[in-house]
Amino acid sequence: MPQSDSGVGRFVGHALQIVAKDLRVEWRSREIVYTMAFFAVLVVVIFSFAFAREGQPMHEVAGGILWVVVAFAGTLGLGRFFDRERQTQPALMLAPMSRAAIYVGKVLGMLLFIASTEVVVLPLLVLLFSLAVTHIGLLLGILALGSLGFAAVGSLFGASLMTSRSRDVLLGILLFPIVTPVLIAGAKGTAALLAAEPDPASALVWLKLLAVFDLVFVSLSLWAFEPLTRSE
Amino acid sequence: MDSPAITSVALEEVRKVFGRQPALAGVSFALAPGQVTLLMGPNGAGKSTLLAILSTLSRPTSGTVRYGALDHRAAESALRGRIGLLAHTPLLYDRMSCRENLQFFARLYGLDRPTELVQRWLARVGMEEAADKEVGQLSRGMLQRVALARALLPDPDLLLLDEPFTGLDRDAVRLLREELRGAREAGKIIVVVTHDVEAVDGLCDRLLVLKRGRLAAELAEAGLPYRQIQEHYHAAV
Repeated sequence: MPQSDSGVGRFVGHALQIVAKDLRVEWRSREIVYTMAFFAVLVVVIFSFAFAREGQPMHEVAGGILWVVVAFAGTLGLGRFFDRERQTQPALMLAPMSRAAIYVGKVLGMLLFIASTEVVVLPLLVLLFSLAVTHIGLLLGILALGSLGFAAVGSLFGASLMTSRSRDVLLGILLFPIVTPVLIAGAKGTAALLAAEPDPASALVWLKLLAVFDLVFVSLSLWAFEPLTRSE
Repeated sequence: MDSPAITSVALEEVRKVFGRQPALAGVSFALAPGQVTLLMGPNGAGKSTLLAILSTLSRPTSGTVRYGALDHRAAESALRGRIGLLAHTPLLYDRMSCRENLQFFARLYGLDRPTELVQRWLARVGMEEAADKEVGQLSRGMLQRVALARALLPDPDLLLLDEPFTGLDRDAVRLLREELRGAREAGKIIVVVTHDVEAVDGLCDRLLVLKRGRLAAELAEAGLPYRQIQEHYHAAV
């Protein structure tokens, strides 16, 4: 007979099942990763022409561009990511597992999709904006925490709007105001590291701020996921 | 932690309102183990809403649903895994094969030996040959077979089937009838929503007719013949 959820191992196991399933589906269709990457490359190329001084791209805007790309490509991916789940949501909700495990699985999946976009975008930014990347560890930390914050809030709203008819419009309206602090901290931290004279001390402050935002957003989302995804 | 088995289900004055529109306007009845209950009604009568409430996926606006000693609020988390739902849509992932879909759910449910179990179910619903086909490539009837396997895989105590005969060929209808008979004999609580009364000929023990969110008629008799169901239904609506 089925057993209801208890224990960290079971929770992690369920979350990983969700991630594995999402990766398998994406591997077959490749629509989210390709769409996000295509959109991201396009934005970076356009901005590299738009933000140019005397024929040279302005490297001080690169951090902001990176996070604009994460925000918009991420929203694009979120819509499709949760659209896939719309038809199967009742079956997932009836499974003997914590709803928080579903949430964690979706956040991890979304995080991987965002990371795959960043893998494409970052080298392109470095190339087009002639950036010198130092303090790689710190930069990766900012990218990881900023992306986690975005994925955490995005997955909460993506899941709760899954059955809403105006989900595409509502997702942006609800997500961006809340996730703005994460995007600002990410942009400022990245800009501090990609500047002509990198400022790792300032970047570290933004990194710590991102860690606090993530803690708050993930905790609140874990608490809010079940009531928000319940069909009333 | 084991979730408690569902030994009975009782609805007490269940109402469900969407905006100002009542979908259910005070419905009360009880469901017993080992019985197949046929739920009928015209479009918009509240059948799907009632199934959603019985499945714990939706909460009533007022009234209570009791699952043994648990009310619907407690049941939402405590009874996950005890309720099998065959819905309008198959609740399967298009880009995964039949086998992958069933294995995914078997693992989520923590079922023993998921690979062997899924293989047995694929054979049982006649989907062995198409087991590794992506679900998105299946015909409606084949989809319904896999959906049936997904719903029955965890051996649920309460089985809710919404138009389960849609798109099924004669063999598949026979298969579903056998599964329902088996579930009834195993003491499951079964609710079937269908307009295809010939498919449930002699299978149901009770007929509930919903009309505008209310219970308009009720008939209890083991193995109801379809003509009797039809007559009773047409007299009620």
